[in-house]
Amino acid sequence: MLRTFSPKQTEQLAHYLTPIRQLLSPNYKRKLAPAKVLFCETLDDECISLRLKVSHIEKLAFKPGQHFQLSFEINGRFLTRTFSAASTPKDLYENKVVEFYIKKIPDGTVTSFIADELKAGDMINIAKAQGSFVISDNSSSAMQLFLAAGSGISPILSMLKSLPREELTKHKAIWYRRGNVQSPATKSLRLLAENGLDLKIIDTEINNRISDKHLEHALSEKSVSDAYICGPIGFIQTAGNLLQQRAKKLNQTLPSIYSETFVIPKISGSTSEHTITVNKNATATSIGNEPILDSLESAGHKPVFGCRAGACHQCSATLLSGSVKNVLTDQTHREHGEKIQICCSFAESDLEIEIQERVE
Amino acid sequence: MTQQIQFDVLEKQFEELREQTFKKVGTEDANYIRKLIGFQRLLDIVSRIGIACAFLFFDGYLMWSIATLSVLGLALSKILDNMEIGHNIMHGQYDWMHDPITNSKRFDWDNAGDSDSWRRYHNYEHHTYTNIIGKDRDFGYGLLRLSDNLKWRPKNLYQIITYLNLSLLFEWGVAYHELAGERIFIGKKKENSKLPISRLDLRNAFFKKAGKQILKDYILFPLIFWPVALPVLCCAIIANILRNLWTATIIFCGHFTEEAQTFDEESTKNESKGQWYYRQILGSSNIEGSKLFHILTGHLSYQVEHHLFPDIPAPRYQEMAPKVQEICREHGIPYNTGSFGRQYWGVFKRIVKYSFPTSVTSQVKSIHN
Repeated sequence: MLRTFSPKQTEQLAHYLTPIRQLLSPNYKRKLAPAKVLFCETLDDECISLRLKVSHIEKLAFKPGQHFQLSFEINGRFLTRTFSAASTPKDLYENKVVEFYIKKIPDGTVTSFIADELKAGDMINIAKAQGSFVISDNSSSAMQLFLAAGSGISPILSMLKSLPREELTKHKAIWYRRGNVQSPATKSLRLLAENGLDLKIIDTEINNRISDKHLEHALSEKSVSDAYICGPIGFIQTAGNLLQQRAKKLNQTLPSIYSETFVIPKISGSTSEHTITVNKNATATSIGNEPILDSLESAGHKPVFGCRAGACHQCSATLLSGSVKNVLTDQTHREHGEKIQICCSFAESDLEIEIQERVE
Repeated sequence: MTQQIQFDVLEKQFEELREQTFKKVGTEDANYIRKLIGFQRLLDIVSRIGIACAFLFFDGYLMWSIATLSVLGLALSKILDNMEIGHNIMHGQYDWMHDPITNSKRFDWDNAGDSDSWRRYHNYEHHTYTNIIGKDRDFGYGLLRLSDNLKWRPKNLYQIITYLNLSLLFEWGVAYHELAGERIFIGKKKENSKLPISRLDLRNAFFKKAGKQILKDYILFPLIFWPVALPVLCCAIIANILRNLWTATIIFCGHFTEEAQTFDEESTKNESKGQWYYRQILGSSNIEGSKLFHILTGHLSYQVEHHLFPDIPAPRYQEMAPKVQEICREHGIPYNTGSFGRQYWGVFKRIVKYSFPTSVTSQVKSIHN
């Protein structure tokens, strides 16, 4: 009698039934796989190593270098962050384990939670792997260079550990990091070096940041076919430029550069002007002393609004990036996908938001 | 008024209380609402199956007992869904959880009213212009005369019957409310409409949601249990009526008690936030009761607190109430609270009182003195 449900109806039904399922397993989240914390330790109040046991191997299949979204429930709030796996697909298939090396960001809600509160036995959620920073299929037999800064070592480690042992000897890796903590990442790298990897670890507290000299010292005049770089955006740009200049100078073919960057949230003062990107294309300039809603209206947008006093949530917009302060609750919002009330929130940085506009 | 109210002090005190409470909101609130939703949805399914099973597999005394229990279960599920869960989630009280289940914009309730439409006129119009005659159409719902500010009309003579009908069909009142205000089907098109969607969209959304609700309760479920379609249909109607009566009663007790005050548009034109808080208190009334009673009302029994802090998770109102009362005492503001019987009797008297033409002397409260 009942015809098959349409995908939308199935979705609605699943959405309706989710809370019932959560009665039985409180950690159940739709479209996310559960993961159990096996090990979580922080060294030097900065380097977190987090090892997870997962159950849905097929859903979580990944290539070395890719990242996962990990979700945590922190004081009732569901927060998601992206981290690159430092372990290999082999670890996943054989032991159902995924491992992450994470840098604790001071004042960072999620990384502080992982460092200070998460412990073995806790349950979190993990979503399928994403990312294009992977070992290229047409990688030649020539030398590959792996460059990482700070916690950018994670995806590089996953790549290096996945390489066959005989290939390791052909490649070079340089890791820039601050201090000399014997973190699990360091240990894994040393192990790889024992197996033949040409490894340099440069302490940025003693040495300067990446420079021509480092490359010269590490590579002498050898040609690099592929370079895999992971770190903050500045590091990637500098490293890329240096490698290209070097190749030109030595009359070599330019190396193929594969890179991945990660963003460290920046919060600037609240008095200056910021650019707001609305619904992916249009922009508006926010002025520090007025609510986002007012700035949008000055720029000709017509956001849906109601009470303009923070009570009715009609003006609720989706924050894609940036930082806003809600002056009513005194809370700062920085989460991707978070709902913000634009009538009582002020921009603290450049913003990307999605708003609902009025139809005239 | 015996003393001059210091609105800036009042504002500061309420903002402080709001901030203090927000700081406490967290895991406890998240777990509570998630478990309650799980329980309500389980109850919904079990009750619907229970109704069908009663008529399919039992007879006599057992059939009637199981059917009665199941209808009560279904009504309870709808009450929880509409009040403690839907009303509160749609106010944005749980948006901070970042959970699609408790997201104010995504939530849809087991009620004929389109949730987007409700969010517009309730969250905004009613909660901003509470009890301002001419601006808050929730005051009397355009059907009842509950204050001297409204001109008496002969139809008001039998408004107690209008009230009873409205209570019985309350979900349809909720569904039709915004369309009535915008004069979508009858009457002259509203001037200065602030409707953010087109009139056609509003009409379509009404038909879509109403249709969906009718399809689910009165067609789909009776069809699924075909041999007993008629009793299943009747039980759904009864459950919906029970829910309608309960929600209407609680909402009337929150706003139309004898002492609940009304305001005119002029006197509230340039009101400060402190004055807004003041008006919210004067326009609302609380109902005393047990913990279970408060849950069944969606904590709208704390109507005063809800109107002061519409987006704080409602179960927190209970702990805020003594502090609100304290602040009111300090400023000499009347805090309207009483037993269910007392408040309901007040509502009844008010409806009857204004059925008859009264002197035209305005009793509108001017809050600017």
